[in-house]
Amino acid sequence: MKLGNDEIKKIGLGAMAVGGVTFVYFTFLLGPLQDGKKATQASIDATKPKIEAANAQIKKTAELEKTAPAASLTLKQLCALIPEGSPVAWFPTQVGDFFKREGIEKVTTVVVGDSPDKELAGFKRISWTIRAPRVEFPAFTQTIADFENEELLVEISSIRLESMRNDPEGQSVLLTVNNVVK
Amino acid sequence: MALKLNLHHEIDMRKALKKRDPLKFAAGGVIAIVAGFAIYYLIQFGEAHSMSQEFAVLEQQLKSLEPKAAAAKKHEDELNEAIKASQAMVKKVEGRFYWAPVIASIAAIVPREVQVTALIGDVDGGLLKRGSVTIEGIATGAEPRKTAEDLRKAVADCFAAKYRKVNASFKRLDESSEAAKLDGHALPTVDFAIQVSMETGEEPPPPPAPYIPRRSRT
Repeated sequence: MKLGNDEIKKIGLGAMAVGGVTFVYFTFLLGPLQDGKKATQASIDATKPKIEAANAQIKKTAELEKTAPAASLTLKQLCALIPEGSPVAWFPTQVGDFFKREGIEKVTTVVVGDSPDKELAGFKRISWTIRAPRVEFPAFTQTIADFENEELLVEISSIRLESMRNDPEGQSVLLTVNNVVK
Repeated sequence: MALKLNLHHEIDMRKALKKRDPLKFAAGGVIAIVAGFAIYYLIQFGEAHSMSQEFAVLEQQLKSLEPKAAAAKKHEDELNEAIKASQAMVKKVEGRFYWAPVIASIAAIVPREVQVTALIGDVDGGLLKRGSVTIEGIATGAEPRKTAEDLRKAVADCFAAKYRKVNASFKRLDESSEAAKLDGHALPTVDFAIQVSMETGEEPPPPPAPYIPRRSRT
């Protein structure tokens, strides 16, 4: 079959029409739609991890909430050991009463200084000297043990136990202690 | 043989030509392609629409979760702070240096030939504590220096069982002019001072390796 001039023209026109339609379709219809889809997919991909992270954070906090009360209870119990008011008002009395119960009289407690506690935010450390004019050595070991067990927030940083010249059975004691207070 | 004459051959030819009209074929092709494109477009449009809906749902979900997550983070920080403070407090209480066992140990190992006249102890540090104990006294016996040396060794052995880096040495060991009476015998005496140093508590973490920049090859 041989195509005539007229037919060739018509085929050319048809091809041009197909090309035009294809161009319009891809450029003005499918192209923007695909771009929109890509943008939406990117947004979905960015949002999903955020949702997962938010859910994970909520779950993590809920789990922490279960364990936190037990941990903070210890702090509450230890804080309950600190009486209200200025430590200068209650600590010397507390120490005097303790040693009196142990049979040691005339104990004097003097404040040396205070500084913020580096390891515990919101707490400070007060240094005191505790002087007992006369103790008896074997019994005093037990007194020190009782003091260390009873006063959990007090640490003895220095101890000076000296024999008395006129009393061979007795010793004088000077303790330097650090007390954690609010 | 019968003779067949087609008097409509021109009409037939025109019909045949009309049947294979390229424009008609092209129009059919274009319609088919357009229909295909339209179907594909509709499918894509549907997908895009469902994706938009999914994104809207996710966005709404995130919008409602974000304030909750922020509040949870804040609460978590508060809880962690409380836990950290609690742990630090417990560590502080449990990491205290106890003097009662030190005094009890010394009382247990001092022999009857020795009279302790002074006991001075100091401890310093946070988690790692460095302490020192000075025992001053008078030692007697047939060989008072040996008595004092035996006490020094006993103190060193006793402390080494409980603490780290124990070092016990004489600060002073002097002959004394005074004599002591023991079991009715007058015996010579020595004045001594034994200093014991030790460490206890948590070991500090090792320091990081020093940074050595690499030399570039020339």
